[in-house]
Amino acid sequence: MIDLLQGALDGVERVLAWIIAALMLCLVVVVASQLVDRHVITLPMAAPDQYARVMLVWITFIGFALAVKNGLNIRVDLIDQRLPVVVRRALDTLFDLAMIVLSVIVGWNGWRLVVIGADQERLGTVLTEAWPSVALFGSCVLMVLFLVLRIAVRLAGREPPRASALDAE
Amino acid sequence: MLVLLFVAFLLALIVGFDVGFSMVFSAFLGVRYRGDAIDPAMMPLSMIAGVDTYALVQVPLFILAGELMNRGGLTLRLIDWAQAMVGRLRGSLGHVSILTNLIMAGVSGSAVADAVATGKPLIPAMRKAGYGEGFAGAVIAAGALLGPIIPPSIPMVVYAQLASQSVVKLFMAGVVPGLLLAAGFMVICSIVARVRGFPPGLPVPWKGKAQATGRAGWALMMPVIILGGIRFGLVTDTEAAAVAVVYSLGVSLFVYRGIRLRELPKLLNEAGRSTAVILFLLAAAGPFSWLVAESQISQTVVDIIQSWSTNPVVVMLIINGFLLLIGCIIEPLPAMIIFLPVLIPLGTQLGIDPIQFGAVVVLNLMIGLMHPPIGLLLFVVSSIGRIRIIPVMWQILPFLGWALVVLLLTIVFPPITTWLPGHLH
Repeated sequence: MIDLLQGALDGVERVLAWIIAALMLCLVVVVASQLVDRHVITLPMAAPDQYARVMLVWITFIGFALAVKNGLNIRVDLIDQRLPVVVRRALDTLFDLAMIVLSVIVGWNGWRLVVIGADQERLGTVLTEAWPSVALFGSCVLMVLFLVLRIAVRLAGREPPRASALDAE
Repeated sequence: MLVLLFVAFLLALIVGFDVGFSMVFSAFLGVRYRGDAIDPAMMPLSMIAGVDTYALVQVPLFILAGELMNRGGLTLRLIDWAQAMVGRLRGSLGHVSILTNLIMAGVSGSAVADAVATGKPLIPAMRKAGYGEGFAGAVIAAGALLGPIIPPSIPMVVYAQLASQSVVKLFMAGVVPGLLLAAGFMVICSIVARVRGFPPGLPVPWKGKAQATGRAGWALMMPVIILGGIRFGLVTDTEAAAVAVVYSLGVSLFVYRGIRLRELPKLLNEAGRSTAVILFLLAAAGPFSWLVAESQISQTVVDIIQSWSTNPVVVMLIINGFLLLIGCIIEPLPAMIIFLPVLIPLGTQLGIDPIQFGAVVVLNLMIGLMHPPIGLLLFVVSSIGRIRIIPVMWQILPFLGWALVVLLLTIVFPPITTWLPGHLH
């Protein structure tokens, strides 16, 4: 059962990885297009900065959900290296549960923003204000799934990836 | 009560809860404490607002440019060029490391990426030349420190966002301290090389230097294009980041042929994930900043410090002492996001130039990357060079000492950080 869930979520991760790569590429094109627009020819896009901001929000929230899946989110490992393995595992499970609860709370309220923003135009674009909120809501849903998997893996006696200090400068 | 919530946040952080979620957790408790007075939708709203900003778009772009530069072979050309330029000096590989990092710092803005890129080829070379594992690792860590000080700099972008300041002015504020650091590091390399009798390298004739410059020309042009473009107003800071990506991609694909087109999705994805980890902290800081404002912790801290002194230099020294201590337990970027909402009002009330304040804070927290016990760069060089960390910790001390001297100079002499930004039109 766990392997099935793991396989399904790995598939989801692969799709999301492609989405992030595509968003990054679009971000480069959209920002660079402003230079072309100013120095070479006038382009038809009215508000490229608005599109770039929405892409950045999507990269941030969806990318963070993937970071959580792979244990790449940032934490301060000040005392846990000194704790016995059993205590550390219990703490990790507690942290994952807390993150699930917080994700549900943020996601639920994020969905409210999706509903409210669906009727609000984003200035100069064909998008609505719901677009950034959808990214946050989607991220919360993904995080809940990934964290449930992490807990299940731990309960099965295996070691899921741990959060660690990254390139945080 | 809200102060207690702040303490709860710090406890969550210390026991090892995710940094971003620790901030969300505190904000949630704050919302619950206020009952129905605050709509919980404030949390997602301020999280989105924390990253829905155009100035932050340059963060993923500079990360991507750095990745392309390292994987595309630009960094290796820079090392060859630096070797040709300063190779005849005693202890030349140390100088090569600092010089290469100085040029790379003008593009990447990430210390860890720079440490990995230069450490992989140079640490084994230095050990082979008899420099000792500790010194080899220390030189790489010190050189990499220049990445987030010399523009472009991701921490400067984050500070600009938190303090509502000009990114370009902050970039320029880092130039002189960065050059001071680099010069001092090279002097330290010379002294150590002389004391320990490291061998001088073979002198490279002018023809060889010209050839090396020709080979590295494309890489050497990158910082010129980026910094020159920003300085002379041809591109905005965000557009400069896109130019850096397009340029490094073009050079990597078609000139140096260091990467293939099919590797691009992986690179884009990795840069996107690195961005997400950094920017989620800023998103989580949105509701957390609200908590800080609501609890009036800033005012309490301001009152306490002002009761000690109202002299801006003394206050800056107190703040920096505090940040250096914080740097012993928390990584720089989270520390910046957690404590700046409290500290920025203090600087403002005392009339400290916000650009100087930003440059000093960033320099201070970046020094945390190379000082024990959690200096991330120490662990990075130890890992990539497969060297013991204790010798690196000892050998980093002279470099750390000079970095602290530069920090002190930037506090006492504001023009070090304000002169160049003051010449921007």
